[in-house]
Amino acid sequence: MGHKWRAWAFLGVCVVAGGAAVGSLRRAQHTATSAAVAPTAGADLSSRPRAPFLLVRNLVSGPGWGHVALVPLSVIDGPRYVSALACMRVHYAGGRGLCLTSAGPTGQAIVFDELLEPRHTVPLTGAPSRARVSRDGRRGAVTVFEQGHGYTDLTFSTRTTLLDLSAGAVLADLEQFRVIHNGQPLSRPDFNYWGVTFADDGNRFYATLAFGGTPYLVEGDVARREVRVLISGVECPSVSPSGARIAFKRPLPRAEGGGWRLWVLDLASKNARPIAGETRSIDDQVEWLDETHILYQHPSEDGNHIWSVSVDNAVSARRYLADAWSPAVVR
Amino acid sequence: MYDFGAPSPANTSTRLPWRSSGWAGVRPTVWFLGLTSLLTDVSSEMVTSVLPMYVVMQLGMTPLALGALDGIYQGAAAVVRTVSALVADRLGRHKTVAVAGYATSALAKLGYLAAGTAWPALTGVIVADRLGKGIRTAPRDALIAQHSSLSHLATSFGAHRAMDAAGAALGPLAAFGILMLAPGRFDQVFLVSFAVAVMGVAALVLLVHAPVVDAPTAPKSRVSVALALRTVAAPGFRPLVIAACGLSVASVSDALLYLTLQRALAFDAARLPLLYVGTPVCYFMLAGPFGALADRLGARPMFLAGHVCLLFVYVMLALTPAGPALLGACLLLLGAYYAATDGVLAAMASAVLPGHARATGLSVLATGTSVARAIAAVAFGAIWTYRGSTPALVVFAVALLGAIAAGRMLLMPALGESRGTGTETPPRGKEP
Repeated sequence: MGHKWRAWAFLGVCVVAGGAAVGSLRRAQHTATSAAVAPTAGADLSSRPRAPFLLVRNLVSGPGWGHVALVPLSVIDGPRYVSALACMRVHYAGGRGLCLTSAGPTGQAIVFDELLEPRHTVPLTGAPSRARVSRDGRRGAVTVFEQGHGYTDLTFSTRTTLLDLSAGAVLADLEQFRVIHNGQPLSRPDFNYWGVTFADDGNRFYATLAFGGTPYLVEGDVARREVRVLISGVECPSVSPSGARIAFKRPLPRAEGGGWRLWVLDLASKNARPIAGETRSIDDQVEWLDETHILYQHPSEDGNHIWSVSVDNAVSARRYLADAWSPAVVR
Repeated sequence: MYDFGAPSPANTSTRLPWRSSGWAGVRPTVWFLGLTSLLTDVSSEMVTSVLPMYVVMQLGMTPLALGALDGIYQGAAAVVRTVSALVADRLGRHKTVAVAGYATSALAKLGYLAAGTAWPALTGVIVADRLGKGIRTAPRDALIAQHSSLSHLATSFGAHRAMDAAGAALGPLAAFGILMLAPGRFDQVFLVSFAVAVMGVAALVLLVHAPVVDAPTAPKSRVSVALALRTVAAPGFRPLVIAACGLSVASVSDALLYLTLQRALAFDAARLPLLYVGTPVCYFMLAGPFGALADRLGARPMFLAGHVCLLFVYVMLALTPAGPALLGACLLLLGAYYAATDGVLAAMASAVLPGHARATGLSVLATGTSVARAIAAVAFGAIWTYRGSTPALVVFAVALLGAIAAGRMLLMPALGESRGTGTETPPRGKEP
C-alpha cells in the first residue's frame, strides 16, 4: 500500500484541473450571459437606420459581439444599431433575413423579418458556412459543412438547401436537382454544392457544383429542379445588382500554396479575369456594394474586418468596416 | 499488482456471479489504462467535433482545407507509429513512450489556444495532436497485453475499448454543452479539453504501474528494422497479418457507408446525428461482452463473425429498401463489427507476439490494415463513381466473403483449435 499516495495525487490533479476548468467556464458563462442582454445604448444607435445600410455580424468586443448590426452607408464609420439577434453568418434582402447559428448540436437557421424579429426556425445539419436571400425575400439558400465520421478522417462535405422564407420550410436539397452537363444528364456520387446566389427573379440561381475534384459554376432553375454546368474553376459566385456580372473566388493550384483569388465574370461574353486590386487569398462569398465594388470578410493579424475593392480598376483593396463580418447591402 | 484501496471491478465482481466469467479477469492496471483512454478521448473528441465550426466561424475559412492535411497525416502517422513502437520495445519502456504520446496530444490542446487565428500554426497543432495518437497506441496496447492473463486477453482489450468508445461518445456532448453555456467561446472548449487531457496523462503516470520490462530476450544490439521484419515473419503472427489485411482490403470505411446510408434515406436530415452517435454507442455496449465471449469461445471465430456482421451491412444496403429499420440494423451491425474485431484483433496479435516485440508487431499490423483500408476506400469510391453504389456494394460483399473464407483457412486451419486466444504463451512483464 506504499503507493496510496499515487491515488491521492491523481485525485489532486483532477481537483485542480477540474476546478480551473469550471472556474474559467463560469467566468465565460458570466460574460456570455451579460452579452445576451439586448443591445446597450452608449455609442450605439438607438433605432434602426433607414436604407441604404449595411447589415453585418458585429464583432466589436463587448455585449454586442456576434449580434446582427445595422450601419448606415452614409456614415459607415459611425455608430451601429446592434440587435438582440446573434448569428454566425447572416444575409438579408427584400424584408427577410437568414441568420445561421450554432445552437444545438448541428445549428439552426433563423428566418427574421425587417424588425429583426425571428419568424421561423429550420434545423441545420452541420457547421454554417454560406447564407443568401433572394432579392424579393421569398427564398433563401444555406450551405453547411458536414463532417465525415469523427474518429479518423478529416474529410468534409457540403450540403446546400433551398428554403421558402415565407413558410419557413425546406424547398429542396440541391443534390435532388437534375444536372445537365454538355447537354447530357450527369449523375455522380461525389457531387457537392455550395455558395448559392439568386438572380433577380428569385427562381434562377447560380451556385458551385464540385465533382471529380473540380468546382464548376452552375445555373439553376428552382421550378424545373434542374442545374446546367457552365464553366469550371468557380467557387462561391455572387451576381451583381444588374445581373450582368458574377464575382467569385477561383482556387489556386496546390503547388502555388493553395488558397483563392477573387475574379469577375461577364455573363454575356463569358470572359473572366482576376480582380487586380486584391492579391490576398480571400475565402468568402462576396457581396456587391454597387455595380463596380464588392465587399468581403477577411481575417488578419489585427482582427476580422470587411474589405472593399473595385472590380474594374487596379486600386488596392481597402478596409471598409472594422470588426464586422458577413456583410449584406440593403439598398 | 497494486491495490489502491478503492473497490476495483475485480473485487466487486466476485459478488456478482453473472459477471464472474468476464470482468473479474480484468486487472486494475487495464482499467486504469481504460480510464486514461476515456479521459483522453473525451478531450480529443471535444476538439474534433467543434473543429469544423471553429475553422469556419472564427477563422472564416473552409474546412475542406483540413482535408488536404489528411494525406500528410496518414503517411506521418505510419512512420511515427512504427518508430515509437520500436523504441518502446527496445528500451522495454512502453509506459514512458505512451506517456510521451499522451502528453504531446495534451500540450496540443494548449496549442489550439495559442495558435489563435493563425492558420499555419493551427495546422501544425492539428498534426501534433494526431501524431501524439500515433505515438501512444501501440505501446499502450502492449501494456494492456502485458497486464492481462492469457485467458482474459480479449476481455481486457474489450474492457479498454469500451471505455475508449465511451470517451469518444461523451466528448462531443461535453463540447456542445460548453458552447451552449458560453456561445462562441471556442477557447473554453480547448481549455476544458486541455484540463481533461491533463487528467488522462495523470491517470497514466500515477495509476498505471508498469515496471520496465527486462529485455534479456531482446539484446540492444538488434537492428530495429530487422526486428520489425522478424516480428512479422514470426510463425503465429504472419497468417494473422495476412488475414487481417485481406479482410481490411474488403472493408468499406464508415464514412463511405454513412454516405451510402444518407443517400438511401433520401436526405432525411433529422436522422443524420443518429449516424454519428448510434455506432459508437453500440460499440461501447458490445465491446466488453464480445471480448469476454472471445475469451470463452475463441478470438478467431469472433473476429471472423465480426466481419460477417459487416457483410450483412453490405447485403442489406444493396438489397433492402430504405427505412428506419434498415438504419437501425446497420448501426447495430456496424457497432457489433467494431466490437468483435478491433480489440479482438489486438488481443490475438498480442497473444502470438513475443513480449519484447509486441508493440512493434502491433504497429506493423496497424500500418498494414490502415494501408489496406485506404486501398479499399479508393476502390469503393472508384466503383461507386463509375458503376453506382449497388455494384460497389456487391463487389465488396463478394470480396469480403472471399476474405472471410481465406481468413478462416489461415486462422483456423484445424477444427478443434478454436478454443483459446493463441497457440503460444507470450512472455510477459513482471507482475507483482
